[in-house]
Amino acid sequence: MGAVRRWTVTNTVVLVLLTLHVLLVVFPFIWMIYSTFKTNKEFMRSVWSLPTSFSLDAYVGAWSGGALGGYAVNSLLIMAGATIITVAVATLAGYALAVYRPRWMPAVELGLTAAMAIPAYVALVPLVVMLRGAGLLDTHMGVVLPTAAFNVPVTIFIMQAFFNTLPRELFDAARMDGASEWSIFARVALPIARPAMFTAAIVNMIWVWNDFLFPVVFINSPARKTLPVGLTDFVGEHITNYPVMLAAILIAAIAPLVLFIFFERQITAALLGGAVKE
Amino acid sequence: MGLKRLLIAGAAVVLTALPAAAGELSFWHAYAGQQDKVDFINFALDEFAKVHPDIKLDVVAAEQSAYKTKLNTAMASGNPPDVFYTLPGGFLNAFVNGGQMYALDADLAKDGWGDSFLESALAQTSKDGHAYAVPVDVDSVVFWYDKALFAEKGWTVPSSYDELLALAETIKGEGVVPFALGNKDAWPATFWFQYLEMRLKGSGVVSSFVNKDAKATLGDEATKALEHVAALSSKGYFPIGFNGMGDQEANMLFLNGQAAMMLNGTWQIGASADAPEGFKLGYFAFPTVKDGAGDQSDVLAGVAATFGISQKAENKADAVTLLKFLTSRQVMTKYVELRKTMVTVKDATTEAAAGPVLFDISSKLMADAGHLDPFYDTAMPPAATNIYQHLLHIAPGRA
Repeated sequence: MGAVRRWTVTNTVVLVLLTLHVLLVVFPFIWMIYSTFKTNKEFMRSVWSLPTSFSLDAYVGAWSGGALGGYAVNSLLIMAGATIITVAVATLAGYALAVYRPRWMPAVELGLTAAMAIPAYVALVPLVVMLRGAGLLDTHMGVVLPTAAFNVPVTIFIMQAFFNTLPRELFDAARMDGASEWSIFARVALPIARPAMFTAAIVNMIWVWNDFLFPVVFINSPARKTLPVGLTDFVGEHITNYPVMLAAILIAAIAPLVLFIFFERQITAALLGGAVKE
Repeated sequence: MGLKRLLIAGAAVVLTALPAAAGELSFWHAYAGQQDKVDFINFALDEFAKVHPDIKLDVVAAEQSAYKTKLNTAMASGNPPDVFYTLPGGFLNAFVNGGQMYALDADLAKDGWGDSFLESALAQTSKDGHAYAVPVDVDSVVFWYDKALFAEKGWTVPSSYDELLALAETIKGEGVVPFALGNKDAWPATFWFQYLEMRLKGSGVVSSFVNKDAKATLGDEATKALEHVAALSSKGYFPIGFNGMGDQEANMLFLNGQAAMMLNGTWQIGASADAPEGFKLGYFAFPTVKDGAGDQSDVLAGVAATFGISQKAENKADAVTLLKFLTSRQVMTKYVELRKTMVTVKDATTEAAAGPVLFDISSKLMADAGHLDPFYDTAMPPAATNIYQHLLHIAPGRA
């Protein structure tokens, strides 16, 4: 039915460029995968060559040496805890900042902006003192709370920006129908806000999953280490067994990969959220 | 009112909830990340538990770079571990200046514990005449080369700096990089500068400066040394792009014969374990420099790791017991055997444990050295180290 697609020069150029781009992006992963089948000796001899024999020793070494499974569970728990708290707080605060505008609201926004400017390094020492006082040092909660605290301001702005796009008539109409402030939020605003909350959650999940500083400083027990901290077990000061390290990284990447496959539709929808009016 | 009172009570409970467990000693170390390090600490702690079952240890381990952040935070927040691993020099001195380290002088004087260490090593963990930590291992820097490759090509080991330059020219002519160098982390090139400075001016400049000798200066010799390093770079004796290459990548060039020599620490022995068949690791001393004012037999050798006790540690007797055990000859010989690193405890670097190359360095090069000069970058306070390393990062540039 539609017009016949014509094979133009432009199409060819675009296709060639895209193919090159895909190769560039995908090659490191392919290299990682086949490198894990080499021995460290082979790896040292030539970084690029294909393995001469197929050996799963690197995976055995990574799995037995690193307790990676436990680290992954810790990472998931901390990620879930911090993300839920952050998004819950930020949704409420973002709504309030967008919908209620008392005169002192700019001061709150300024405070939040200022809080965002504090580098985490500066806060390390006071945080350790506070966490020790609260008995939270070396616990999952001890990482979750400061992480959430640091991620809340940015997340509030993401949510506020979303609520700002909603027409105020929506809330006024509900108010005239006699709805209480709480039910306006819960029954009118919240359902529409879901895609925005999802975006905020995904951004937070990535931050928390990759965070290194807080877990390394606040966690002491090997049993409570997160993945990024645990992966340093495979890095030596002067000597590193590369195939084993690469195998460990691949194993560690499985959890986010599964998560992505599972939520792929929501993730792309969230990233495109609001891009096109229907 | 009720809620407020409840909150205050809750806070009080929380604040007093964490008394240190009685009879338990917290011990932090950085023996993680590398199989040989893990093997060593497992051996040491297992043996300790057998000999001292009454002393319970609460052990925390982290990989070197993460460990530094962790320990610094713990020290700054007034919550130091009882016994801990620390780097010597500027890193340790920051804690000493803060009054956080327990002086070990009285304990070292007893039962000949102090005499069991090499004097030059103990000096590197002392400040103003007091020892604040015990040294564990020593790394020294030498030139490494592949004996098989040198024999095949007919190259001979140089004894003077001029011979070294002539050899480099020959090697370059055959299409091989003369010196492997991966200076991404800025410390590898400092060895070149420091050795030239030691040969031209002498040892001990930075050490005496750190010990508050205001007259200590690197002098005009420093300019000369930097010029030498820059000349090596502009002649193309280092690999292309060495300032963006890591030490471990440079090591690959060396092990595969793409580079002929490497000026690096004794950890090179461990790093050469996965060399291709036929590779035969050899070493030679940094050559003498003509008209140099320094003692030409001096060796760049620094204490790499130390153990110390916190001033706040409640049970200092048990803490000292742990340190004595860790630095006993039995444990230290095992350290040499597993890690292929020289230790600071006398007679613990045995030939059987160290292997031929390391034992040769320990018993000849180090024993015959006029002075052992510690690494400038670790001896300096952290801020100065930053400037020093960046200087060396820029200086040999042009690549």
